[in-house]
Amino acid sequence: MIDLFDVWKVALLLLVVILVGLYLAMTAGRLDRLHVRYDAAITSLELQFALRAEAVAETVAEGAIDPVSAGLLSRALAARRTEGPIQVGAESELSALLREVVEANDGVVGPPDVQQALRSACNRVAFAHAFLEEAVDTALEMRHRPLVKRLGLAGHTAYPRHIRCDVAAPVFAD
Amino acid sequence: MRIGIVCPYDWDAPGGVQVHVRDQVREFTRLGHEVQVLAPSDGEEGKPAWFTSGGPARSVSYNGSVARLAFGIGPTRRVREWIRAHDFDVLHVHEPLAPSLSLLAVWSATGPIVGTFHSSMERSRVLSAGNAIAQTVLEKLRGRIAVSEAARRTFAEHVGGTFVVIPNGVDIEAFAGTDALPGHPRPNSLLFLGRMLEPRKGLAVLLAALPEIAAAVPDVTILLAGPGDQDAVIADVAPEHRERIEFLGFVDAERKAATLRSATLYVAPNTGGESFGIILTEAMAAGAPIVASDLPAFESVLDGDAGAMFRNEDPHDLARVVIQLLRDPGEREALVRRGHERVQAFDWQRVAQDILDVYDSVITGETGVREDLRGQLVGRFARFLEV
Repeated sequence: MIDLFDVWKVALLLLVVILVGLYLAMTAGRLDRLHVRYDAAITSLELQFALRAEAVAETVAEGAIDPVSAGLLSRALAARRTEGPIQVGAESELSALLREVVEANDGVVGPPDVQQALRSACNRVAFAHAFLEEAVDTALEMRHRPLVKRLGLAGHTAYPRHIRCDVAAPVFAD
Repeated sequence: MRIGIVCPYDWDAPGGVQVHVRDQVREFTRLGHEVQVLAPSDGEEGKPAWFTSGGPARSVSYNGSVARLAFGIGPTRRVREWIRAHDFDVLHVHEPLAPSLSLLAVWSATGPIVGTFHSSMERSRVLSAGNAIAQTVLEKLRGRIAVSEAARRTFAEHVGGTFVVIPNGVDIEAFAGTDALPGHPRPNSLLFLGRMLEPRKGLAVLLAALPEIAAAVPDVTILLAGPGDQDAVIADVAPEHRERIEFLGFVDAERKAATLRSATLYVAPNTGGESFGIILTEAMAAGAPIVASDLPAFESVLDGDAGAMFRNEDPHDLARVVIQLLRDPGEREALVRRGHERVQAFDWQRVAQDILDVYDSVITGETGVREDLRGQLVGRFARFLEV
């Protein structure tokens, strides 16, 4: 004989289970979305570093800057591998060197189209990096929640990592 | 590049965001990109081919003010159709947290999405960050743009996260080189431009300063350009000063440049709620010397010295600055010159290039913008209703 009280208890239990399940599914969905964004951001930063190296190579090839600047830039380009993960050291050095070279050449490093290409390339690196750090922050905040950790909601996905890198763009003349 | 732009506010009504989107379309098209715009509107009749209506805007009373927004099953469906029909490389939504089309678009799409945050001050028009839906929207944006340092600060505090600052652009050529309105400029005239009865536009501050200015400069006049009840404005002015006021009526985009050139000084006495101050860039482009309140947004547009500033909401300080400038033509010329230099930073050509760089920095190459159906009951439901 089933008591009416028991029916209510079972219904309540069922409701709680459904709500918890929904919450977990939503959280897992969010984690997935955040990881997708992180992956895209990393890919994008890698791409922008590669494109910046190309723009620097073009600037050097144009020959409008002094030979020492050209030499230093070529050396910095040679120091970065074209394959594999982002090399924070080499990219940071290139960023710093670019700022010095542009300043030393009074903000002009080539004809308008080459200069604009380099300016855009440097901007894009800075933007991609800012957006990546943002994506990492949000994803890590989620990953560090006790419930997410305890229940392993993120599966075996690696923790997103900050890329601590100097990406500040040079100041070009107009 | 194929670019989809979403504007959350009624396309048929005037507004800063709408103007910004129109300019954006013009610049990107000029650079050879394919642009499509989705915005709330009563229809597509007489509209350009790049425009798609997301459905009519509805009036919603929201935190005490009335906003015109598009939402509901119809607009949701149109947003999804629009995203499916145009194979965008990047989706750019304006004011992503406004409860309208922008939010629906972010909700319905996946891929490279960029959001521009405009008016941080008008909280009444955006969802709060604590809202679960706002959270989802923010998480889907791959890049965030703030239109000013002031907007960036407020939004960083309000919703958190990293923003790149790209100012609103101004079409310098269109504003430079126009003539003043017929019969203008007259000596010692001050111009006010904007909705006259909206308190935050600060007309009351200027009118309060008038007696003091008139005592020092007897032939001073004030030109009022903008919508608002003239009788209500005049009622607040002491009878002996009423003849100093001239109403120019509503000023459309074409007459704006001419109007800005029609006075000795352009006065922007706004008391708050400005996140950018596009009007100041227009005044600089038109070559008008500016007197503005010292709002953070205005300070950053004027960069310290491209306009004269007075203490916000202080009629005495406003009178002091205005009197000084009316007596000093050399300083007025210097302001115009510095304004001309400063406004180059807001040149649309440069701004457009910066925005395109943001697009490039979120595009990863393999996939463009797709409809997002994952884990979204609302999305599936909307899709189901279409079939």
